[in-house]
Amino acid sequence: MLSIVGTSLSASLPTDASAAIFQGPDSTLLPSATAAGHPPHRLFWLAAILFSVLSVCACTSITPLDAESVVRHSGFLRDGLTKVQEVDERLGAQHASYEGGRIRIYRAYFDEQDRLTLMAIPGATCHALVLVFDGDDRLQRHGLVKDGCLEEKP
Amino acid sequence: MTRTLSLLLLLLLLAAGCIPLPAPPHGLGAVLDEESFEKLRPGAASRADVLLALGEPRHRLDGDRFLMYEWSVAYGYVIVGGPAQAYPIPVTVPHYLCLEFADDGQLVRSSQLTGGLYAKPDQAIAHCTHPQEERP
Repeated sequence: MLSIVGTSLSASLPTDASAAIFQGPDSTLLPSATAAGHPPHRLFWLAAILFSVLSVCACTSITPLDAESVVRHSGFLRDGLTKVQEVDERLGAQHASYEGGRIRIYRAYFDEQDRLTLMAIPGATCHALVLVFDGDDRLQRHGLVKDGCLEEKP
Repeated sequence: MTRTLSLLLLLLLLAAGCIPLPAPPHGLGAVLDEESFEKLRPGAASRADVLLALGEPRHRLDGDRFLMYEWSVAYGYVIVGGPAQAYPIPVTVPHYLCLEFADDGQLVRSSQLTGGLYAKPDQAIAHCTHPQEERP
């Protein structure tokens, strides 16, 4: 494993939560702190620590969902039974394929009724529905990777 | 007096937009789950196992012989914009997981690439696909 430590600056937008901490109700940090009767720099560091803690909680993990959740949401998909033709008819074109089409990835979203859909929902998190077929064109394994879609870079 | 001076200094630094604020290392956006990729052992896992565990890779290279996942870890923030419009910019380090597969789809090598050297993905891709070559 290579580990060369260095830093690079990345200018990305802050989350609403982090912006709120720094801007406060009157869009100032230090004057509001003084008004509260506390030493301003103490309040600044308190806000800084709070921001750090919140920022740690802000990321999401790419994790495969448990088998039971996948079965509940993926309907007709049955390992060892579902044929590739049925997948083609029901799901249409895949987003990506590997190993000559043996492995396929579809982009999936949960709608308001908590149903899995392949229709892109603006603002919704994209999950990767991964289907693996065997030599007989039957579904061998499938799974849903939470947050597993490739985030498009601008 | 000391308090006034430290407050003035703080205000000056804020106005100049150069307050570095360290934070515990944490991922930005979607981050690979360490537990998931540590289960993927070379010689035991296949390309299908990888995709079922990690989802879409950022880079597909050399006919999928190499798959690379990418995420960012923030180690701190720089506060810019002054006291009225303070604005945190994350100081991030890119992280890559490089996976190499044999012709039969078995995972043969897994390595993590981390650091400012890889601020541009090209360097990480070059190191992933040619790990034996010396880096500057």
